[in-house]
Amino acid sequence: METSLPTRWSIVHGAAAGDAEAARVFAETYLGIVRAYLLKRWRGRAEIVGVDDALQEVFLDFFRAGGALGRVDPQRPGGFRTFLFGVVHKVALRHEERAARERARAAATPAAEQASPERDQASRIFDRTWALELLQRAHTRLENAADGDADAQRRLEILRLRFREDLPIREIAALVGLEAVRAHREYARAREEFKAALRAEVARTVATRGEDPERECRFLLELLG
Amino acid sequence: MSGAEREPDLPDSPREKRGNAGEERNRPRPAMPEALDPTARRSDDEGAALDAEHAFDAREEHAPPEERAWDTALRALFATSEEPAARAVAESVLAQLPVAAEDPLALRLRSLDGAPPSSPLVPRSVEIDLRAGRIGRLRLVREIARGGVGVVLEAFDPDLGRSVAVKVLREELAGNFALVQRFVEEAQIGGQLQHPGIVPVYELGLDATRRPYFAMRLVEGRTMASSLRASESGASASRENLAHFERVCQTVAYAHARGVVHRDLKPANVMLGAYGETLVMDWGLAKVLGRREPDRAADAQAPAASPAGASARVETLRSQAAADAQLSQSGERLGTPAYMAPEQARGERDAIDERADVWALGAMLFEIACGESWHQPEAPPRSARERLAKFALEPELAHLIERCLELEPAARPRDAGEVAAALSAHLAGAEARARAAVIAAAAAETRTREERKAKRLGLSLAAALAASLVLAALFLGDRRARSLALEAQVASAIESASAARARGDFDVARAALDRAAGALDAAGADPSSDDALAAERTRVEAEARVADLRLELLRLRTNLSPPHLVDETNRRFFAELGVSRIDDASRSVKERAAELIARAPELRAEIAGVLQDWGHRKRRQGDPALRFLDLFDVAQALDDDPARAALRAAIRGRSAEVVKNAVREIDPSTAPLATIHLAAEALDAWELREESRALLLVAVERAPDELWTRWQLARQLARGGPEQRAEAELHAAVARTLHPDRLDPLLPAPERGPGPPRRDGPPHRPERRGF
Repeated sequence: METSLPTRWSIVHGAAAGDAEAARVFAETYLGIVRAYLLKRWRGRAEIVGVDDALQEVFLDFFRAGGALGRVDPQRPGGFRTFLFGVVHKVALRHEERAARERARAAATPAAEQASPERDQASRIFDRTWALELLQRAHTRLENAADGDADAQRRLEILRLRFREDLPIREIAALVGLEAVRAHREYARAREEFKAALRAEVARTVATRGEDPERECRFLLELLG
Repeated sequence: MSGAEREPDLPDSPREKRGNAGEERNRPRPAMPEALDPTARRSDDEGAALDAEHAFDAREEHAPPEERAWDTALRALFATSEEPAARAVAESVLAQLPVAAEDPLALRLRSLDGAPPSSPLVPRSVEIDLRAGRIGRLRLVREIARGGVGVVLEAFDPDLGRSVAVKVLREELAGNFALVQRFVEEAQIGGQLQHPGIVPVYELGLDATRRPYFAMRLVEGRTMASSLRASESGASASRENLAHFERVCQTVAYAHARGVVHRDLKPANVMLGAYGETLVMDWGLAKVLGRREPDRAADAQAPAASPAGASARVETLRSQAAADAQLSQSGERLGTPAYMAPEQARGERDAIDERADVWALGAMLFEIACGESWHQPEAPPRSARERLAKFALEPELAHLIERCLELEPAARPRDAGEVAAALSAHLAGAEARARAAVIAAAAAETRTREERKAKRLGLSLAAALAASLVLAALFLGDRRARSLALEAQVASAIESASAARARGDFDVARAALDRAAGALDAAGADPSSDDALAAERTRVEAEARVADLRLELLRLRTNLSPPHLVDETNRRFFAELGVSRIDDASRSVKERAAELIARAPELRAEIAGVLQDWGHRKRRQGDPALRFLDLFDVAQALDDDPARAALRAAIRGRSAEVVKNAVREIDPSTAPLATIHLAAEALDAWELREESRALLLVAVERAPDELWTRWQLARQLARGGPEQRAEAELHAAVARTLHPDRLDPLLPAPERGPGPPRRDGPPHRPERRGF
C-alpha cells in the first residue's frame, strides 16, 4: 500500500506556485467532493441547475493569480478541510445571492424564502460529504490493492456482506466458503486493513506538521455517527 | 409496502431485517443444560465455530465506542456506494416525477386545467418538510413506522378529505441510487397492481427536497403475524387464518399473472384490515420478471383479478429500460431468511421466479397449519414430509405444503395461482365434509331420539338415565357453543354497524344489522326481541335520516336553478318535511319555527341557513314586498344560537360597520361552522369580500371536507377575476368530489357589472349592498 505520496498540502503549494501538474491533481482530487457538496447543499433549490458553473467558479477562485490558494495557511485550525469549505461556501453564497436577486427581479418568489443555510449547517453538510469521500477513497485504495489477490478480494467481500447486507458472520462464512472461525479472523483483518487505508487517506489531507491524522480520523468518524 | 398501520417491529427492508437478525444474534444467551444444548451434540468443529460466534457476539456487544464508530462509518460507506447503472436509471426515473411544491394550490391548479401554474414551482427548503408538516398538499400527521428504506407517515389530504399513508425515502438514503430506484419501483408496482388485496398507491412524486415519496391508502388492522401469535391453539389451522391465506394466494397469483414476484412474502407482510380485508403489503423487494415464453403467458391465471387489465404486464422504468441485469449484484440476497426459498438464500437472483414466492407461501402455510415456524436454523435439517408427520393435518393440506417446500423449484407448484387453486379445492372439500358431518350428526340425533322413544319402556332405568345424561351433556355443550357463537356474531355485527354509522356509511351499517338478524332468525331466535340489535337499528335509521336531510339541505343551498324554480324546490322540500306554506307570511313566524323544530331538531342551524339563502336570493331578485325578511325572521326564530342571532340582527342593520362589529365578536378558530358561514355571508352581502374569504379559509383549514364551506368559498371566488375563478374551480371540484351525486355540477358564472338595460325586459336593478 502506498505510503509516500505527497500530502495535499504539497500539491496545494505546487498549484499555488503555478505548477500545472499540481493544479491538475488538485482539481481532480477535490472536484468530486466539491460537486457532491454543492449538489447536497442545493438539493431542491433552483440554484442546482448552476452547479457546474459554481464548480468552475470555485476552481477559478483557487487558481487565478492572487486567488484562494495564495492565501492558504497550513497552520489554520481545522486544516485543509476547513480552508476548502471556506472557499466553496463563499462561492455558494455568491450564487445564492445572485439567484435571490434574479428571483426578486422576476417577482416570482420573495428572496427571503430561499435563504442560504446557516454557516454551521452548511459546514456540517460539507464535512459529511468530505468524510464520505474519504471513506470511498479508502475503499478504492483497498480495491486497487486487492487486484489479483483473491484473499484480499474476499476480505472486501466480507466487509460488503457485513455492512451492506448486515449478514451475521456465520452466514457470510457459508457464502464465501470459509469455516466460521476463519471468517471471523478474515473479517477482523479486513476491518484493520480498512482502518489503515482510511488513515492513509486522511494523512494525505493534513499538513506535515501541526495536524494530527489520528485526531482528524476520529473527527471523521464522529461526523458519520 | 405499507400503506399501512404497520407494527413498529416489522422491518421492511433487508437492512432492517438484518438489523433485527443482528439483535437476535446480539442478545445474551442464557445458560442451557447440556442435554438441551444443541452445541453439546455437535462435532468439535461445529462447537468451535459456535463458540467463536458466541465470543464474537459478546465482543460486538461490548465493543468500545470507537469500534462502534467504525461500524457506523462502514455502514455509511456501503449505504452510499453508487452504482453507475443504478444512478443513471434512478435519475431518469426521478426526472419524470412531478415535484410537489410546498404551495399546494399551484400544483393543484396545474393538475386541474393542464396549464402550468401562474407562479413557478420553487421549493423553499433544503431540509425535509417533516418539520414543516407538509408534503405537497398532504398535511403530515404522525410517523407510523420507520423501516430500513423508508419512513411511513400518516397524512391528511385536505382536497379529498381523507387520511392516507405516505412513504418517504429516508433522508440518508437519498444518495443511494439503487435504493431510490427500488423505492420508485415499489410505488410503480403498487400503482399498477390493481387488486383488492393490494394497497392502492395514489400518487408518486418528489417532495420539495426532491426526495421521492408515494401516497397510498391508510390501512388499519393488524398483521397476520400478530394474529398467528395471538392464536391460542396454533396446532390447528383455524378456518379464518386459512381463509385469509387463500386470499393472500389469490392476490399473489394476480401479481404473478402480471409478471411480478414479491420476494418477501411472510405473515408480517400481510395485513388483516379492520373490515375483514386481507392485504399483501411491502412490495419494496418485488421484481418484475422478464417476458415469459408464450406457453407460460397463456397459462398464467389470475383467479381474483378483475378482467380489465388483468393480463397486462406491469412495466416499470427499470423493466422498460432492461437495466435489471446491470443493476443485479451477484450474490445480493434480498428477503427474510425464515421464508426465503433456497435459491433466493443462495443469492441466485436470475433463478428467482414465481416459485420463490411459492416457497414462502409454503412456509407461511406450514406456520398456519402447524403453529410453529418452518424456519428452525438450530434444528437439524429435515424434509417437509418429516416435519409434517408429527402433525395430524388433512392429507391434501400436508401434500400442498410439502410440494411448496420442495428444495428443487421445478418440483413446486408453478405459481401462486396453482397454490390458490389447490387450497381452494381443499377448503371446499373440507367445507363439504364439515357439512356432511353436521348432517350425519343431525341424523344420528334423530335416530337416537326415535330409538329412545321406542325403547323408553324397554330400557332399564339405569341404562336410560345414563344414556340421557350423556346425551344431555353432549347437547347442552353443543347448544351452549352454538349460543355463544351466535352471541358473538350478533355483537360483532352490531359493532361493525356502529363503526359504519360513525363514518356515515349507513348502507354498510344496515347490511351488518341484516346479517345479524338473519343469523338470529336461522337459529330460531326472534331478531326483534334482541334489544341491542333493535337499539342500534334505531340509531342507524335516525342518523341516516338526519344525514339524508342534511344533504338535501345542502342540495337546496347549492341549487342554481332559475328563481321561480328555487321557490318551488324549497317549498316542496319543506312540505315533504311536514311544514307547509313555509314562506307564507300570513302564518305566524313562531308557528312555522316550532313545526320545523319538531320535524328536525338536530338541523336547526342548517335549516336556518337554507332559509337565509332563500331570503338572499329573493332579495337579489329585487323583492318589492320585502318578503325575504319574513324568511330571515323564521330563521331567527328557529336558530336560537346567540352569536348567530346577533349576526342576523346586524345583517338587518343599515351599515357595514355594524356587521363588522358583530363579526369581530366571533372567534373563527372555535366558532361553529354555521356561525362562520353566516358571518361570511353577512360580510359578503356588504361587499367586504376579503374579510369574508379570510373567514371561510379559516373554516376550510379547520374542516377541509366540509362541503358548504367549500361551496360558499367557491361561489364568492367565482365572482372575482380569472385567478380567483381558477381557485374557485378548485374548491368547487373538491366539493363535488366530496359529494358527487348531491351537488349541482356547475359553478355560478362569473359576476359581471351592470350591463345595458334590456329593451324587452325589466329595468336593470343594481346590486344592493346590505339590506
